[in-house]
Amino acid sequence: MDFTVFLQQLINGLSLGAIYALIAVGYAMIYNILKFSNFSHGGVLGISAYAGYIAATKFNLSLIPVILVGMLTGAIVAVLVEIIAFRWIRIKHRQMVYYFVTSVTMLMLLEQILIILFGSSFVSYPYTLVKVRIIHLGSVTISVTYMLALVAAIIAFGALIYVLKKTKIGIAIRAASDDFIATSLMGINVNSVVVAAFIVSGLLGGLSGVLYGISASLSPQIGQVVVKGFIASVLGGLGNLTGVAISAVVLGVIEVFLISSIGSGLSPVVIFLLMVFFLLIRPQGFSGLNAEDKA
Amino acid sequence: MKKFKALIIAFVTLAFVITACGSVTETVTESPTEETISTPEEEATSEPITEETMAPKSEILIGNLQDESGPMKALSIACTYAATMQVEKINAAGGINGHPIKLITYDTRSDVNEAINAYHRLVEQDKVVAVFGPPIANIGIALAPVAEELKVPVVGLFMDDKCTIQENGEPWHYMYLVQNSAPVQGKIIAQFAIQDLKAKTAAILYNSQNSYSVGMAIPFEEVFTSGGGQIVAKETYTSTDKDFRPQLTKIKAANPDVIYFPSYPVEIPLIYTQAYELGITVPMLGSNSVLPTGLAPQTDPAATANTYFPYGINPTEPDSLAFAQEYKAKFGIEPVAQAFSGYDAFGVLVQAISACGEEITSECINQELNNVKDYQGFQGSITISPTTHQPVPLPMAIMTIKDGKAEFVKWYTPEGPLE
Repeated sequence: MDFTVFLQQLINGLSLGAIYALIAVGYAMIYNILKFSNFSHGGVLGISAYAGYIAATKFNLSLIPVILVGMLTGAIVAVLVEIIAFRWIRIKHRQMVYYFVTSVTMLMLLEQILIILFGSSFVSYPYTLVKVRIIHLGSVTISVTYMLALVAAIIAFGALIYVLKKTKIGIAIRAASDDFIATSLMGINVNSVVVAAFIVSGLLGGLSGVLYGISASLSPQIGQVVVKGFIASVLGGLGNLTGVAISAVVLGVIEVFLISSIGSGLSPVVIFLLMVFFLLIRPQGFSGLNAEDKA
Repeated sequence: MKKFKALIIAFVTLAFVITACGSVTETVTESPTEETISTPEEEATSEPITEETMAPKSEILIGNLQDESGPMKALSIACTYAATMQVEKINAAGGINGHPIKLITYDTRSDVNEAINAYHRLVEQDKVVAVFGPPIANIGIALAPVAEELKVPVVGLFMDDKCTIQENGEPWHYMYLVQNSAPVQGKIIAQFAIQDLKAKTAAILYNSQNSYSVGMAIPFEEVFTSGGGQIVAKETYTSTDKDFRPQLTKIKAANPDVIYFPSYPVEIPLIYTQAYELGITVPMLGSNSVLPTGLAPQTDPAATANTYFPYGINPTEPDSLAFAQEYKAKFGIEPVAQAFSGYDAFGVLVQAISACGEEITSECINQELNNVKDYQGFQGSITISPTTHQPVPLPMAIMTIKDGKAEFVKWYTPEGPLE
């Protein structure tokens, strides 16, 4: 492969991986605390993407306000999902499978709400939202839309690390992720901690929804991209946010090189085989944390 | 525990109920379904009505299978609108041989199974005499053997050869296409690339899971290579893909003179935009689905600065302009090519029904569809070939996009420019 082509494909992969990273970290946030795979994150992402679309088309807002609308919507929907769907399971100390069933059901429910509101056809963000689209770097070009995702992922991830390490609520979230019951016994209000985690997850879901919606297009099934977040989380080790973020970027790069070498039909097959292989030989993922209970 | 199980069951049930509601809502709200238009006899109320004048002639029921809410809605709903216009005009003029027409529309959402079920329902429950089909090749292919069994003709815009021609070379006896087939369109744009753009090399990017896309890509390759050209890159994608940059990067590296991408409306803005973002400047050759999603607001005009595509009609001709004005006044949107060719297709069906006189049966309509000759439509003079159940190839307009607006370039046939 020509070096320029290699470099261009690498940039394509990194920018795609950046969006996957935003999705995967939002998804892994909840796994960190409640130890279940939150597929409803895809639904949150979808609703936020459409909220951003309405802000852009009906209210003619520019990019930053559109992103903020998406993030705010993501946070609200994520908290509503927690209160309506997951809180009862937690309070009643039900089995993990209830979380799994409920999260898949919520994803379907949110998708169907989008179908009712917008139909099952696709819509696109207006192209005017991101006007200058290319940055030339020698013989390679970088898409501004995807660059935005990369920058947004770095900023969001930096902010997340700061919140988790330096703020009280962040420390409480980390404590809860380590031992939920002990945290509760220490007098920390675990409901607030869980809500805070869902807010952070929703903010990331909203951000990734809008950015993915701009670079792709919107359909009610857009939330199914959360599967990429799930794969990245498995590869990265579900408990470690840095591992998850790095895995997501690597996944984007692998996907691009697979598509360019074996085609887009076979690429998902190889990626899923890779995931199964990883679960067999290294269930703890790259980072080596939280090996169990990947329901 | 019981309460909790009940809660889980309630969630699952709610999701399924909403799913079911979703489909019903789409069908009912978005389509001008069941066009029941009163007959002139019913409207004449002031005169005393005798038994003889009062008896209205029976309705002619025509099925309409379109994607009213799925990914092909933009093109498919244009067929519904075109059919609706025809139905209203025909009924206002007294119907076909005095029989009013009633259009019964079902939403297929581009789903093959939905389409097959709806066709069964139209034939077995609604008792339609003919069906107006969608501009979706996958659905046409699936309907062909079912129509062969139920013997109710389907007239539509499904462009793949497999929709109207069986593997043994015989036509599917109840399937009719009323626009150029995908292979004819692929050949026309290949000839344009060779003869007008003087292209020596080409790259093809197509959806390997979609008959429409494959049906154009292969004939393009055959004509282009037999004309002395070389295919330097041939990349595929799948129906769920949103990121085409890996394939476009490879194509760019192959340095073709032109890039052909016969794609569906949902993919078109993404391919244009991503090619532009990768710095691709060679002509992008599209399909007859480029409009409307290849224009703003979906696609940045900067990304379509160098593009050409075949189109069923020349939108700048007076007849087309008048139709466009009427269509826009009625539905509030600009008509796409499928509105014009859909109008033609429905017109061909109406002509076949008219030819049956008072014996309006599916068999008679099917027989008359084989006899359609020189039907004057927006696409030109349409003659249905009894051996292919497709039109004898029609010339197509080569279009381009300048400053975000579609412009006519010239007429082309599968052999070359129309003199």
